[in-house]
Amino acid sequence: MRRIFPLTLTVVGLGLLLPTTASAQATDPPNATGACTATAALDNGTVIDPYVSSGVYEVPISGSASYSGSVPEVETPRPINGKVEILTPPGIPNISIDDDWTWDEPDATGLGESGEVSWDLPSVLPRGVQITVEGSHAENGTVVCEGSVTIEFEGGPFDSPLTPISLVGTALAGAGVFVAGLAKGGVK
Amino acid sequence: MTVTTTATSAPQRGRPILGAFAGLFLGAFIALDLILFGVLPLESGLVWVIAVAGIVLGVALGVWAPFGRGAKDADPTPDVPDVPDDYDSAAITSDGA
Repeated sequence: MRRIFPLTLTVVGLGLLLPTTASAQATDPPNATGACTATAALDNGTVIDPYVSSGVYEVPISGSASYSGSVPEVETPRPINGKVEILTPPGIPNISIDDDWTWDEPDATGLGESGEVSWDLPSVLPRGVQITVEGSHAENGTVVCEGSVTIEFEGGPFDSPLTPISLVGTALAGAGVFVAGLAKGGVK
Repeated sequence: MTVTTTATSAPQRGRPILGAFAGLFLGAFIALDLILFGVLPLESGLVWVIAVAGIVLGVALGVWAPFGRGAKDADPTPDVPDVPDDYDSAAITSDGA
């Protein structure tokens, strides 16, 4: 009987860890300021728009999307800059995937951009993990639009090899803590 | 001459340094598990709290050393060799023959 209680606790604990099914439609309230537009229509039917909802948007690990964005400015040459970043825990630098995620032009003239983009991300990336992507755009040194959305890659935790590796690491580290707690010396 | 044997009880300690490192890894891996299973968002600052809690747990267990005490404490008497069934003390003479 004494062994059943910890076993029950473990099962309940694992049940709490199981991922909940993500909603098909992003329903969180928007988290964006300014009069810009920014949308991306993914090939899985998801439409990402920070002015409609901040997420949670499901993104396939590989796919394509058509995107468009605009800024509410007069079409004259002007300095612009901006960035898109993946937020990380405090103390760890945020992640900008490549040069397309940051821009800094001294004499930009356009007011918008649209096009197609495709991606095929490494399978090692975790699935079902909520990732906050934050972006901002500045005109003449002043931020005119900023916002964030939360995405998660389609799939379950075990679609990424990181999960079993992490579980094994947890077990090994737990064994290390147990060994550290073993009494040495004792009665002589 | 009388020889007196006394059992001295030395303080039992574990391995607090090992505990600190193992606890750090335990906390980090638990935080990673929680992120990978979608319990914590990627940017959560709780990962640091969990990592520090792992260090504290590892050091505490290393100092306290609660594991492995039972076997030693249950039978503190020194081991005595078993006496064979056919042992006959009368057969031993003063000259050892």
